Amino acid sequence: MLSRAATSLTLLGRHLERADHLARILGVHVALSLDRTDEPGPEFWIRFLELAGWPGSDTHSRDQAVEVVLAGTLGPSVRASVAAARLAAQAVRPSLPTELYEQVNALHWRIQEPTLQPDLYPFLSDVQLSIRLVDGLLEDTMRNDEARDFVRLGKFVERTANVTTIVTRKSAELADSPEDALEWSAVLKSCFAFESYQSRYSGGVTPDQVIECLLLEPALPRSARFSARVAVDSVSRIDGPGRRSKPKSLLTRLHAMFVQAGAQQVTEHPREFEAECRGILRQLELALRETYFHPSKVPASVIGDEGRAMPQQQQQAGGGRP
Amino acid sequence: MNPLDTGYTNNGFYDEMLAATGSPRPAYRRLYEQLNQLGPRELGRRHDLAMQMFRNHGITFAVYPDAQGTEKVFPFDIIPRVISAQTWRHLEAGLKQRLAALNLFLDDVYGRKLILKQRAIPPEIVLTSPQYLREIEGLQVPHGIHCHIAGSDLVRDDKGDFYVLEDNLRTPSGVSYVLANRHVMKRVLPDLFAGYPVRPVEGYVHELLRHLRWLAPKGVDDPTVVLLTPGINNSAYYEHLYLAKQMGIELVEGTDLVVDQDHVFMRTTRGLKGVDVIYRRLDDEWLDPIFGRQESLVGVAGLVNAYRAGNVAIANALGNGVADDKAVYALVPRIIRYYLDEDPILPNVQTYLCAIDDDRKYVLEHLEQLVTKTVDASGGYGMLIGPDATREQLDDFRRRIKTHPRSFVAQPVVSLSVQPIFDGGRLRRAHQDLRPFVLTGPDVYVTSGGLTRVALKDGSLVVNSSQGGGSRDTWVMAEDGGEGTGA
Repeated sequence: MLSRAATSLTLLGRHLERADHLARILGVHVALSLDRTDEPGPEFWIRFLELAGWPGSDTHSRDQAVEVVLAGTLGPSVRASVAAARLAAQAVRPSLPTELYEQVNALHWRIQEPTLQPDLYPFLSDVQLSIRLVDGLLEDTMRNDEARDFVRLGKFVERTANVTTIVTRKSAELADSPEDALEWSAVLKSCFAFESYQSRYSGGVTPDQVIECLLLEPALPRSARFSARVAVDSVSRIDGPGRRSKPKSLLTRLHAMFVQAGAQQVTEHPREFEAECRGILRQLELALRETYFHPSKVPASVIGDEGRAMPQQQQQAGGGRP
Repeated sequence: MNPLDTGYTNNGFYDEMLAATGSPRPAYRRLYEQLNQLGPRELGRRHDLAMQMFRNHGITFAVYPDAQGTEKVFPFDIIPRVISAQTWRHLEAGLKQRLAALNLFLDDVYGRKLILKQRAIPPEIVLTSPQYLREIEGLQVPHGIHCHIAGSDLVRDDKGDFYVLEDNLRTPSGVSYVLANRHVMKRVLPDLFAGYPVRPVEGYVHELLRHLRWLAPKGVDDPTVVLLTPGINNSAYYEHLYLAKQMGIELVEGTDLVVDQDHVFMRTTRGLKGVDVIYRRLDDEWLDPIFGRQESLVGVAGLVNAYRAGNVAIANALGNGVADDKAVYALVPRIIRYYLDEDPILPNVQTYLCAIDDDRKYVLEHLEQLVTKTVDASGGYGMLIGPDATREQLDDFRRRIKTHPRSFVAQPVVSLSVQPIFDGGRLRRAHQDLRPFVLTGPDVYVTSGGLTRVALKDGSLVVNSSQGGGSRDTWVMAEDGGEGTGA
């Protein structure tokens, strides 16, 4: 597979997962703010925006927060993530089933329209269901090959990072009020795991069990451990038998963190746990680039142009529209 | 009165659908009845559905220079064009003849130059073409074929006769719209097809792949074929990815390829993989920064040397621009007679070469009545339509013709045929042309019909999509008799 295609497929998986994640946490937090008997103050929305990838935001109200996470252009937003996914899909359209591309493209166009507050839930629901449909098309129509594994890799690495972030940050945030069931339920819902949790755990929503469920559970598709496992499996298939690449080593290490950790360790040292996880993910980014996206396997005699910028006007150089 | 044609007139132009009496021509009779039965409201609804399908399918293009990256759907008219089997046989034979002669011409002018030595055509017109590449003189191309994929633009005059308006022998675009238009029509207006034996268009991509594989260097049984695109910002990018996907080949950009010791490779996740055939969709000058423009970032350094060494085939070959130069176009009837000893089946539009003294004198005296074109421009640019031009524009062209006569040709204004388009709930007259695509390789293949381009701006003669043109589905009848006869 072309290295450029591998990059775009990974980005497709990552950005769709991010759009889904942002849509979900936005919906959950707006609902959580309405469930509070006291109107949440600016701190609530500042913390939420930090969780959504907008640290240091001076947005203090629900409406502003909704606008930023839906359509902000200077950080991750639902609209920007879908647009980025579409761009990645365009670049590798020959590798994707037509219906899959069309779903991503149609979603992009739908969410270009301004969204009014009363339409927020149908809007978020549309985003999430459309992404489920893309997932289904991916699993059901795409060959089980390298292309599919790169999409999976992007998606599950992103999910590992998102779930770990939300759980560890909430652990730190709720350290003084660990029994806040409403908040911990929101964490589960943010990860699409509330119903799975209820059917698996008895005794109500408790921090230790939520952490166990979302980070350490091996069989829940939304858990960090499960996601890391899928990422390891994807890289193993990409590498083929007998090859132990750097991305595979790093992902194996990441997975081992969730296998070996206990809920108590995360409860007691949430920031350290998150930092360790982030450290591995940063190394992984570099390793993916070196191993698959820009592999340095070009002989010295090669006349190459790797890494040069591609001006738009040059891309018009060659038979445009009829 | 029919609900659709309120106030419709053809204004004296040859109307392919409605005769001078206002009644539909035989080929369109049933179609016209069906359109009127559906009525304006329903046709409007289906038109909107078609546009939504185009948008969701990604058949859009970026609007330049728009920093916001606005995208538009390629405009489409839902009324198809009908071409009878008999008419099509004539056009197909004419196109095959033309491409056979042009390929012989290209092989000759970059080889022995017999046509020039024997002065069957003026050598100075050919050798002064800005598209003539001296650097590739003597280069042996696979099977002696230079133009593997061509798109010639045909127009009908006020009598309904077909003429060739120009040839596109470098990187002709538009074939994906032929396929997309049919795809959408079958879904949005399936009832219209009833009773019409419409020839399918889907075979093109299989034929294209077969022709490309045939070009593989000797000894390569299972060639790796790629499509080289300038990138996602190219306005024909949709076509590039569509063709690559349909053929099941890699869509590569310049940075995906490297040349090592005159062999071309693509960068993959498992290292370098050899490439045998490149269907390139970028112009000669950008293809290789060593060979063409040094600043090219969309090309591949060393590619032309690999091509020279015979280690990779490139379609179309380099240097084809000399044969679709608008001045050389005027010589094509003589080129056909020289190489094939036949009269041209499809005539050219009368063309005056400003490089020739008598022609230039005539052009300067009649500029107000002529269409004057810059020889190496395309997309409807660099053109002056005399009857519509201002005094300043005419003076400007006069000055430029006198300074650079080789750069200009002129033609009488062709009264392009018209056909109604569906616009705002009623029929409106619009001019159109036809771009069939011709593949030359192990055999010659002509698309059934081609791309009908429609000048959507009211009264405009310019069909290019970059200047307000759109397209419609083109139906070539599979058999004589029955519906579709007589167009």
